[in-house]
Amino acid sequence: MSPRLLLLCLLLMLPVAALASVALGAASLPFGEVWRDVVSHVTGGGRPAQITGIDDAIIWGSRVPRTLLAMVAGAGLAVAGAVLQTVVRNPLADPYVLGVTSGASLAAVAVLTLGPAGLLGPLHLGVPAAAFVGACATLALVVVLSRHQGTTAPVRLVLAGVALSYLLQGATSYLQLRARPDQLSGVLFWLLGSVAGAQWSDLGLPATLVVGCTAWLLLHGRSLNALAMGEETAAFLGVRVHALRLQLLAVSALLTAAVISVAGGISFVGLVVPHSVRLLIGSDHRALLPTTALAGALFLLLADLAARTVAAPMELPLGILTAVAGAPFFLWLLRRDRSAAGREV
Amino acid sequence: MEARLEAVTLDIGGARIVSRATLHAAPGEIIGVVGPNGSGKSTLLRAVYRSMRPTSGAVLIGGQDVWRSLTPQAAARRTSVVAQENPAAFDFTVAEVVAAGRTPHRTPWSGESSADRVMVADALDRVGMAHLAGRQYSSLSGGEKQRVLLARALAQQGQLLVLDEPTNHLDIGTQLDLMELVRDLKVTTLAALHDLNLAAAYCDRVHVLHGGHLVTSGTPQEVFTPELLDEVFQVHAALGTHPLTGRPQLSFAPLPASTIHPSRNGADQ
Repeated sequence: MSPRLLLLCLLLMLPVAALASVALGAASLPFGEVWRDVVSHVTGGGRPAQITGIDDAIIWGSRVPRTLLAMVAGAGLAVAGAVLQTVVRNPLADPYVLGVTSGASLAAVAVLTLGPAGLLGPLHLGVPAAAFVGACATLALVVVLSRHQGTTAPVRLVLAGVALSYLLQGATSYLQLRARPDQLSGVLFWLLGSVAGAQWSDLGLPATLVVGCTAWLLLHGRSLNALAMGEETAAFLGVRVHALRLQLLAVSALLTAAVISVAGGISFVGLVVPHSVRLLIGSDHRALLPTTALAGALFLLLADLAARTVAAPMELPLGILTAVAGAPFFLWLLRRDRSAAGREV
Repeated sequence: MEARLEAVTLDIGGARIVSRATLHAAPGEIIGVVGPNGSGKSTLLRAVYRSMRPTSGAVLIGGQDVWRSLTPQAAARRTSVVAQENPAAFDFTVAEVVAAGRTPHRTPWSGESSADRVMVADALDRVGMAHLAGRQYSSLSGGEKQRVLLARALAQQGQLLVLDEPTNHLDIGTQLDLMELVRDLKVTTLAALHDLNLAAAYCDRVHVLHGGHLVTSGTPQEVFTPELLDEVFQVHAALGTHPLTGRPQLSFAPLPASTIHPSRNGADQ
């Protein structure tokens, strides 16, 4: 498939899916009302007179930010996954492998169960801030642990990340066991990820970081291509390999931290989406990164739509949907493209 | 472009791999670096293409020190490289692999220019791979892959070409094709070669690495003496003339058992 065609398809499908996401939900509202409300807000008119305050709160106060957060989160996680796979030169890499998600989860669960003062005492971090700090601190620790003789070999990064992940998950499980019953549902919901509680104020930081980081990564598309072809190849093509790798790790950690601090630990997006896009259009990062961002946005948007409609009125956590939808789709793609499945890892 | 190595010393993890290697390649010369396994050939070349910093000594390309005066990008514009293949994590098309050779010539903000595309097409044409431009690199045969990597080196447009055992795992016809291609480029070339007869056939001068030391250099006729081959490679050798090309040609036989040097079988004794 040509990269342009896929990009065009995604650009056409995203607004349609976004509109569906705003129009559908537990409260059934007429489509015309939803459309009028959104158009009125976007054009600066505020709440139209004929729409009740409750309906407006559902549409503009809840469903629109929720839809936008799903898109931002999907784009951020997918781009972070694509970059991490190239940095550690391992197709199985995603934000989970480097411990980033586990660090964020532990910090968030600590705040949820021990209270804001439980972690870092006087700082009184809220759940999002704690998750952000946890993600960044974990990645810094992984990089420090994997440094050996002044360099950070990809294999050591993965091993240090996986080991630390298990340690942090153990601590998270312990906190879960100690949690009071009334805290447990919040903990579980957070661990499995959700954009259900999205508010406008949640969107600013992740949206800015996702757009900014993706733009920065696009500028380094050639260097990313060279790095994907091999570390030594990148070196003799003039890329400062060690500096670039640290920058890329930092950018992926920022992206992941920004997303999971507001949407929780949504799994699978960072693994499935970049691979699916690679199988369709190849590995050139200058095409791969923007397409992956849009595909990630669409994927999580549809997952969230399913999360609140398939078992309505119950809402499912996003992580369940992304795993159930993502894994079979990924396996189907692998079987379709045998050359990709048979390549050495 | 001229290349000069001055007393280059390289250590890996505290072990000395190359000691004070000095060599010179005049513009247009093909210089061979030969030596047994583990003699430090690849490591020496890494210092030239800026992948491993020397402990001491200098690498000068076109009179500029690649480690002290040139940025990685500037060094990459002077030196084209075909390194030993390591499998890529993700698949690229042949055209994408060759286009990567343009990396040191572009800034992050410059798109793919039409000049770049022409250069990539030309490079593929010169190695006879234009018809496979859209194929996945991983689906190619060993010989085709080496040609594509040579095309990438051409697209890189360095005035020094560094080749690290470019003919490994290739059949004899493909080996000769590749070396003919390299000779026809008429660019200064520094090549680590395993096959002494290939070195004798294509190199203007050869340098012999033995245990990390450059022990001798000169034309193939001067260097490949039975005494040297006995000492460095531990083989019985005779230097003759190739019946078809008139180039020097070596014939090998194992050393008689009684004369095998203790250094070789040290572990057994």
